[in-house]
Amino acid sequence: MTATISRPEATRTSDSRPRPTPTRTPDVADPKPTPRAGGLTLEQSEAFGAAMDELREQIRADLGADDANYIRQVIATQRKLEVGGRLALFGWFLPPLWVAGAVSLGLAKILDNMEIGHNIIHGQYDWMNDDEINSRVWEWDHPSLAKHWKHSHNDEHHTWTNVIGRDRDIGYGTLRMSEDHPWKPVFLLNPVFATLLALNFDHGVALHEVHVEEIQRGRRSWAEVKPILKEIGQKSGRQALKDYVLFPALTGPGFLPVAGANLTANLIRNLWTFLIIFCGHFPDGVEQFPEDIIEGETRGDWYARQILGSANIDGGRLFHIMSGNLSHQIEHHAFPDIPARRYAEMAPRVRELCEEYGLDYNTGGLATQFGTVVRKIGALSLPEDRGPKAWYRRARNR
Amino acid sequence: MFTQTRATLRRAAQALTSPLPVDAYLAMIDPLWSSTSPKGRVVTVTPETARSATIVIHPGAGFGTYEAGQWVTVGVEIDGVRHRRCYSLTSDPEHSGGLISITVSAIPDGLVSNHLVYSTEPGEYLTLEPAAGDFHLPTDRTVPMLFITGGSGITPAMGMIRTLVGAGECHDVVLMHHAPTRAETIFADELADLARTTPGLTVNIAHTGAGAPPPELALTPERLDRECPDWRSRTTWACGPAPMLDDAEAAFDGAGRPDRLSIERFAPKVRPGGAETGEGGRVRFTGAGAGTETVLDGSTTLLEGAEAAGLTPAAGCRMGICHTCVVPLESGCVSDVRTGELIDEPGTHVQICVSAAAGDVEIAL
Repeated sequence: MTATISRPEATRTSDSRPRPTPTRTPDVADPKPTPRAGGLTLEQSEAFGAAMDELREQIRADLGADDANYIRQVIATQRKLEVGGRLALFGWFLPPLWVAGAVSLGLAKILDNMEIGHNIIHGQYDWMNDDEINSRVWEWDHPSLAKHWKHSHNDEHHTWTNVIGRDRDIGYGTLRMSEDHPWKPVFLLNPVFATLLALNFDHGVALHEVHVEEIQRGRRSWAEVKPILKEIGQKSGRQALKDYVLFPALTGPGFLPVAGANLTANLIRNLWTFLIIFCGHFPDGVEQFPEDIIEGETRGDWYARQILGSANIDGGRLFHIMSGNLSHQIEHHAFPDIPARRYAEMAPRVRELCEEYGLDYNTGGLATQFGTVVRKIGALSLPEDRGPKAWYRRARNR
Repeated sequence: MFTQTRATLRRAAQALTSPLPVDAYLAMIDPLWSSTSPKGRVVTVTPETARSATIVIHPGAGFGTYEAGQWVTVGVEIDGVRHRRCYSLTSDPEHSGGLISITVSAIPDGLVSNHLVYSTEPGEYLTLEPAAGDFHLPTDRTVPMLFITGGSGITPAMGMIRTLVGAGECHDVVLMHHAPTRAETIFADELADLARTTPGLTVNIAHTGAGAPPPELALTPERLDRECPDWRSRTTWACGPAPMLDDAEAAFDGAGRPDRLSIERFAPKVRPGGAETGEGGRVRFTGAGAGTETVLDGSTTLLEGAEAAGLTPAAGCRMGICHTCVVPLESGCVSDVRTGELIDEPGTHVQICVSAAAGDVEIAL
């Protein structure tokens, strides 16, 4: 946890476009002791919150058979891709089958983790009252346990989105992703850490629940995290056994090529999920907030912070499905338990409300968004009071 | 030996399908193969009366066996949402060729019953939970028996009578059934046939007409003496509307033979005045329902309150039997609407379908 927040105001990392300056109505006593996200007044914040709640209710009331059939169809597709991929790998000696198997399995893992697992574990389909498709029992093809994910992601990250020192997803305890995170020489390796995290993103996510940075600071003991580590070890052990021992062994002489194909599938999944997730909160223009922004936060303030702390990626229907609709990160953070397939239909209204209340709605193509993320990882590897910081500023404000 | 091999095979296969159960993949081929989430496929839907139908179901792996007279929790999907209700099995477990049947009466505004009676088609998949309940035939089938039933309360009795007849063990059985008219009597033809062809079976159907039954058809000891003189010595099952069951209870208590009578109710028996004595309160849901708060009176169950607040907690029988809806009490006090019993120990697993708020409550859905 960084305790070095010096600025009382939300950190605006970019966006030099002129923004409407909200005027505070003087006769309304605002009980919030710190500035509101997006500079809203109490009145604006309440109206904005009510409009967002109304949109949520409107979609929630409309959920039904189409949504239920959709998620079942995605699950069926994922299982076909998985079984198909595993079967194709029995023909590992034919290069096209090896490639088809690895890619098919990689796509299955992406669907399983994103559009299916992430969203079901968020409780997006709990209203179906289904025995299997619900956040209580769902498990995913991933070394992280669903229950750990519910804590470190659903609870910690979604509650504290982009609050420096509280949102542990900022840099995942390894990277320097904020100017408020004090520079140390080790961060010269920021790009190396980022590459290693991308390649091992699944295990990075699994180990997130251990809270390593808190152990380093003496806030947690190893004894405390031992049972958590044991559970992660068991789950990731079963995952590794399946991908790197059992299925390869079933193909006999194909052991190594098939293990290699399964490794490729896991890498495809890791790189893709890293790409999409880092584009959710780290592109230029996404705001980070000081810890005291939480004080007296209204529903409208919460919505504003979630929106300003997230970024969307433009794309077609298939792209949205393959990214678990996290390409609609803004809508996801505003409505985490609404089925993600509805975000595209909610987006125009959210955008309209953002314009009305002068909130920045950050969206862009995948290359643009990820480009600024890469630039940030590079720039923040260097201390601010040196030349490159000035270079980064110039690049940002161009 | 065979079961052992199968269990070993299943464990081995599980290592390949981890973290999902093998059944998740078996269900891709046929939903009935899944034993972790047992399903049944509707084979036929046959109308019994204008507002009731018998649904014959092919149960999948994992449903298991059952005793005649037990009930099953059936889940149907209506506009994407699964709703579960309990229905008595009306089939003979010994001679139905692996199929089971339930007979459902559509009740006004009944979401599930109307769906089952009017909208269900052969081929539809229902979820099934293993059969349960103590309302079933005894091991010794030679004892004289009496069934007192009203309306759709005939269903568990029908399951038992069919089983006795099918096994040739219907030695001395009396059925006292009540229904408004002949046209509204479920199984009227079959009961008449069975009575004619089975020497050990006496069927006595009273038509009560519309509205409340006439006083002479109240289940008094005098009427029982008239229609079934040795009722005190019979092993008796009663199922039907609450006033009839209360009368039956009073009769057997008065005869000093409460042990002879088994009762199955369709709605929880609310302790006289019980529902009103609970004071109600503010209910805060945590867990899956986190963030939802509602104020309930002392006669609204937590389940009804949660549903009215837009939540969809798991629930089955809605009368305190099946324990599908059990969730831990976090804090506060709830009262059992059937008994008035107060539960205030945090962590107690309470059945939200029969619990009302008695003061402020926090409960994890």
